[in-house]
Amino acid sequence: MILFKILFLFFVLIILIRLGKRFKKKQIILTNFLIWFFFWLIAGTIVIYPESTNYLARLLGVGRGVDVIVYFSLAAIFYFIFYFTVRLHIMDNRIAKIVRTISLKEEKDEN
Amino acid sequence: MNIIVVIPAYNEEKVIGDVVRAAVKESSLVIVVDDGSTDRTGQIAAEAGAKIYRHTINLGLGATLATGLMVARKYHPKIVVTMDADGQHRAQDIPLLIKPLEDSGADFVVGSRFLGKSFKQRDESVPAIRWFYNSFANLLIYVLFGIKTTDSQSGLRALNAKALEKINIQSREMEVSSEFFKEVKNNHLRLEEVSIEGIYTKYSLSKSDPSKTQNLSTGIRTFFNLFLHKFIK
Repeated sequence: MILFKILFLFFVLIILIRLGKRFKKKQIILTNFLIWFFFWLIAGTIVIYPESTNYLARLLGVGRGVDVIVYFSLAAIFYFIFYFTVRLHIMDNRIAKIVRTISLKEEKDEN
Repeated sequence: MNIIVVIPAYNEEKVIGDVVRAAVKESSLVIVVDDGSTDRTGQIAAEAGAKIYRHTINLGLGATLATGLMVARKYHPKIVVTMDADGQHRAQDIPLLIKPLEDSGADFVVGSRFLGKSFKQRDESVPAIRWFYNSFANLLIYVLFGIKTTDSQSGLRALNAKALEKINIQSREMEVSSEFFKEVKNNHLRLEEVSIEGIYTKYSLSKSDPSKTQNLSTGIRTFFNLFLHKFIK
């Protein structure tokens, strides 16, 4: 269990460093930086103090603290899949619009 | 301009010349939208008498048809006909499609390969799998958009000026055929179907591009995209 904690915290540390670098290079905005920073900070805290989730489990009426995390993680993953599907769809439409504009412009230029 | 034929094309250099030449005889203008072909599709279509618009990258059937309709609107035609570039449709059927627009007040006419034909009565050239795929798609159109059709996947359609103005295509890929029905429903257009003969040649059935053939994976993707279009605008 100790080994798992060390490996996970190492993983969180790498992610936080990468997150910091991306923010420094202005590849992500402050809001996104803060959301992900606190998300991984909380994930790290839960790994160090897993019993901290028991309070939340009791509050929500779920058996164990770990179960609460699994439920929330699954909900978050499915939400992100939906979110990215929609984003991809929007980007697809934007690309189509650009390509269409170019094709109309090229035809106009030829005449 | 009275009649404009819009042909979306992607890597069809072997047949596009004949398709365009036949369409030219039945229309005032043929517009070929070359969807980023890597062969000589655009050049051959232009030599055959079509006006060419070219996508710099391959976008898919839906986006290509949307470009074609957008271009057609600039000419203010009375009628626009869409047809496939692979020789699956006969240009001689175009007058059949136009008749209901002129005579019986239809706004949108579909050339159906299955109208009044059961599975056993279908044309010999229609593969069984395509018949089942189409039947399933028809059912889906009815469930999603409440429109009854016998050939929801037909690429041969005719639109009058009202339909051309109202129909707004958002699809990128194969689901465009079904999206036309959604637009017909949403814009309260009058739909009619006429019986046509589908021509399935070895060429049209053996395309290497999976996005252009109606196989199972394309069907599933189309199904998914249709649901996406139902809920996302």
